[in-house]
Amino acid sequence: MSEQLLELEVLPLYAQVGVQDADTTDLPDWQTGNERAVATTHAILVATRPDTEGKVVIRVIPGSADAGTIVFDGALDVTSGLIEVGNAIAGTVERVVLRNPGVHRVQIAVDAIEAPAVITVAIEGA
Amino acid sequence: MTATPRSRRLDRLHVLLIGFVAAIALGLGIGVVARASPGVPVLRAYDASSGGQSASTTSALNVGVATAAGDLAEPGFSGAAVVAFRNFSAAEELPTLEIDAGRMPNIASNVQSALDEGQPGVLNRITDPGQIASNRAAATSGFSGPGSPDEYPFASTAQGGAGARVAGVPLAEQRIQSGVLSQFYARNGIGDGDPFAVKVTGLEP
Repeated sequence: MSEQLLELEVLPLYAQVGVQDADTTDLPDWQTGNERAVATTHAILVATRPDTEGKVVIRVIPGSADAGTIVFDGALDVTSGLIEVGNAIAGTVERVVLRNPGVHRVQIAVDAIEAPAVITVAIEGA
Repeated sequence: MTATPRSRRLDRLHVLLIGFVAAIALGLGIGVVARASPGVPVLRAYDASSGGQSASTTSALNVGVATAAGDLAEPGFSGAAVVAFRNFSAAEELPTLEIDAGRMPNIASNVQSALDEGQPGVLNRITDPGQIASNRAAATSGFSGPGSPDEYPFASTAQGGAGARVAGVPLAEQRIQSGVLSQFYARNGIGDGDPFAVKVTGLEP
């Protein structure tokens, strides 16, 4: 297992969690609501199990995803140098300071594709 | 708080002063004062209330000092008889969250039904995770499906919790709703305690 930068337990209101530049308002839109993840240049939303089934765990690690099924693999522009993860509507977010602001490759993997309870966020160059 | 004799005298003076200003305002035909530029104090007179209770009719006139458009700062008085608060076309000035029935038909229907049943159309966001979780649990405790429980007022608002209207909706709709809500909060700078209005659009009668 990789060195862990953060582990956070979140009530996944609306069955999702977010990974984003802490300063952005450029948030993605779900088109059907059945996507595994949706993203903009600065933010990613990941589908999870509903909150009625319990909290979910978000792990943030450097490098590449080390477990689970990858549901997002792409670039995230973190201009602020701070990545915010969690569920903002539920009031639960935490920040990870990156060594370098700017564009980072991010992989997101989940433990169970239909109803994720563990979400791994891997950040290259973190 | 118990008023001292001196403060009671001051209160009476304040009431007289307010009455005097109100009489001038009415005599001059001053109604709602136009928006001020931020930082420019203006006298603002508007339909308000008696006894501090909000009223929709012109039963009294309250005055205060607006220091920014839409904001009413300290009125410059103290005492229980002085009432000055934001009470003018509030819903029109607030950021409005639109629930689009075209994208979220089940949620839109639930929200509209809740509004029709008398649930508030203006909500205040909260960000305390414990309170939000508590609201969500209280609102959905009796829900047994089918679908995912959607509540209005939202659990993430001060008005949420027990007594919210709950309906089962597809989980996919809730994700769409969350995206809309997150964007709305972020783009309008809606933080803890901030008010916003809710409106359903596109719902067929």
